[in-house]
Amino acid sequence: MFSARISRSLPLLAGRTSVASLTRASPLAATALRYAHRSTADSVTVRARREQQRLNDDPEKAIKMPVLDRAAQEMFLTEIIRTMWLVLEQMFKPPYTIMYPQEKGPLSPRFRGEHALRRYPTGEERCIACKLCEAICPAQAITIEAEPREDGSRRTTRYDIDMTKCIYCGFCQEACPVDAIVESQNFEFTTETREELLYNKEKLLANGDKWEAELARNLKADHLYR
Amino acid sequence: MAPATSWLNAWTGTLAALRANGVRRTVKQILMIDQPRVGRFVGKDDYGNEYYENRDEIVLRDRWVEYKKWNPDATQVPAEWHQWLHHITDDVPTPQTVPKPFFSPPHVENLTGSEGAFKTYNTTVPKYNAWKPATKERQG
Amino acid sequence: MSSTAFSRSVLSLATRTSGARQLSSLTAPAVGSASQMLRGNRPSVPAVPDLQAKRGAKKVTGGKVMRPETFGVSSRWFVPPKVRQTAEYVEVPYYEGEDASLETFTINFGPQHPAAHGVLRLILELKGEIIVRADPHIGLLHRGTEKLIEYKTYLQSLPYFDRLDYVSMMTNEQAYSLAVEKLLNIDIPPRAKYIRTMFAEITRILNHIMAVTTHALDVGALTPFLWMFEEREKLMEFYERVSGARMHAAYVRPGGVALDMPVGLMEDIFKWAEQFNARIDETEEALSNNRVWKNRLIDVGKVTAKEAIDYSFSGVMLRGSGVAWDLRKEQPYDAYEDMEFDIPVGTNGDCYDRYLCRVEEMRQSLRIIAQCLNKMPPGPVKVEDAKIAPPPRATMKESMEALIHHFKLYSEGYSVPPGETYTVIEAPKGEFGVYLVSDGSSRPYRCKIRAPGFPHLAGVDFIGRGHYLADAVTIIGTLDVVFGEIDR
Repeated sequence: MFSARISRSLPLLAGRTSVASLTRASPLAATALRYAHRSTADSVTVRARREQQRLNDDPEKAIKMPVLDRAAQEMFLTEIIRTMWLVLEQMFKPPYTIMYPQEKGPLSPRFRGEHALRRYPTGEERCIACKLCEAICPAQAITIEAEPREDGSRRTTRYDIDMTKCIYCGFCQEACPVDAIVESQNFEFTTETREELLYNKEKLLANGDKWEAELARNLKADHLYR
Repeated sequence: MAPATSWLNAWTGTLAALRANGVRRTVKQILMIDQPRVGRFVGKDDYGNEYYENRDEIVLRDRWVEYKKWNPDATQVPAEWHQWLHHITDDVPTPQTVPKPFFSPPHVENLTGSEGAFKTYNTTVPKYNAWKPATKERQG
Repeated sequence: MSSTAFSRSVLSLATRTSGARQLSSLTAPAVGSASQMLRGNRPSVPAVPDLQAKRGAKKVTGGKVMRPETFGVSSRWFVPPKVRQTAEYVEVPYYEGEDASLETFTINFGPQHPAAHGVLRLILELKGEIIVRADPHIGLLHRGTEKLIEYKTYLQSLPYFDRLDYVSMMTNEQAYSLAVEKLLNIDIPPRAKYIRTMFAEITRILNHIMAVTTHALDVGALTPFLWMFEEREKLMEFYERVSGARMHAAYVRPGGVALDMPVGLMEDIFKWAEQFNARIDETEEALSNNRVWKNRLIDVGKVTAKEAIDYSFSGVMLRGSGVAWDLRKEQPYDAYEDMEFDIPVGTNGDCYDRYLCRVEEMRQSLRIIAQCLNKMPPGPVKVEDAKIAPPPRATMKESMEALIHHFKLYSEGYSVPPGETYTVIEAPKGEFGVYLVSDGSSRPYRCKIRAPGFPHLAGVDFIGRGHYLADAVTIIGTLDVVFGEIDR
């Protein structure tokens, strides 16, 4: 199901990765790439190493760049011009800025975002009020109260998460034995007031209902690793 | 191929977009996303947002949404398209592949700052209540 | 520009250079020549040897001395001597006829200065433009992590470590996990070791990208910052794919790592690593030879080997001064024994050397990443002891015993035998140590965190003395301070 993401893998790279594109875009970078296949240790690009080597061999020699070279560099600004050229090359590369509201960055099924309480496909809420998430939460952001429901099943009456305390470590969803509390892939839940971040059970269930289509799919995608 | 977003190709990109998308949509694109873009129409969600893809763009810029509303908000993307747009999956969501549970309400955007913003409340019977002193009216 | 003005500026530059030369070599003052102005000249004296003699000698020449070549130019555009001073004595320029009571003045650097790297508040005592004393004030980001940890189980303590040095997250977790594992006396599976090693090196690159490019940004070069942060973004995406969070991963756990790597991640890391050398080259092209960069960095913030050891510096701050000390070599942890890599060591101990060291360490990290990718063993990623690491979810749902273990681990946690350990790793910034005392319960009795940035920041006083105010930015940048770990 997720093979496409996997095989195309790391989307960010593609714009600048392939050797062909590098060669076209930047001769400098292409040279470096050629050397990158060799052991980095003896790569000619390692300037620090080379300098250090020279210093170790002969400290007197090390500080002396040939005077003509140095004079030429000083006068003709060679190193500045090289850098300017490098900057110029960048202008011919496609811009890699993601235009956010229209395009969105990559996420993985493991992403830990806004919390949600899930339901079974029947519509019954999953949480059984075992309070493991409350126990493990390092920030003590979760508060749970439970009572037997009218039909005798044990359910929460209060499930509050203080999202201003939450550190999004994901321990609650790891601890949950029934996959009730999960962290959804949604990170766009910014609010204008802090009060809006004090989630109660209804809000969390509403989140679960809202994102269930995605949550179920992501849990399924990652289930082999858990 | 160089993407149409490169500044070098801004003009040719605009021409291509005009040819492919027509004047109306091109103008809308310029107004809303600042750049005319050509892409394959992938789908449309229940709320009228349209999803496009162009594999020739640099990756991560190859999928985009054109919002229906004129003041778009990033949270207007519903759950099933959210995962596609975020490159979590490549599968285009359909009612068959990504079934929407019957209890899922219609998607709402983040309503903070508006009337519909979430306001927290107590979901249990309060354990203690404020003391309301009952005072007798003074006699005489 | 008139010819007199030109000659004046040349002369003043010459005095700068000769001043630096003079104190470093303590020879008879020589009038600066044009060749000395060329900043290709780097002091030839290696930082390590016979330091004591020189410091002693400096003390002898102490006191407010007026050197003819320093004060030969009378101009209001006079450039004070740029000299590296000892901690004991600071030479400040003395203008003839000035009021002796107006010795210095004090300014606040930070905590809202963009170059202060977070919430550093530096009280600078200045004489003219020369730093006489730099007094770092800390505590603005204090969260009481160490105390909080005493009230958390060993697993709950873990996310706090992400938030210490928040640009090298997984190495902090690694230090903590190694400490707990040492107390538990367990050995983790080889695959977990390799994953940890690989992500520790990714973290090192993350950190050094941040260190080098923001250093450049502070000094005035914006462009490498923009280039390298694209790479950093990719690395954070690796973080996100493996752990679910872009920064605060909570991935390395006592007993291994949280989850196995998803399929395809290693391939992507390989693809990324293949091209990253070219990105480093671009950065080096923009910086290493650049005259502005060299002018701002060479001979600035010199730390001799003895000073570095005396102030208990570690990491690049120590290696930049010529001490070849790296805990990955000295006492290899995780999979570092199997790795082949080199330790870059500086010679002059100035900011430029440390910059070169950081860049080279990034390349060495690439080597380690490549080796990890090639040698990555199969197998489990956490100890298969249900008393320490939670069982897989599928087992938990079917086996009663596994479910009991699950509940125990996520409520009470595991008990750690009584004992104490000081476990160190070579974090990107230096020696990150966790001193952990267990009283046999499921919570640490005490957790002392040794953050490398703390002694480095303490050194800002003696490093900064005698430098220009503008060099304070360079020095803070090269210290690579992050206040999450300093204030804890």
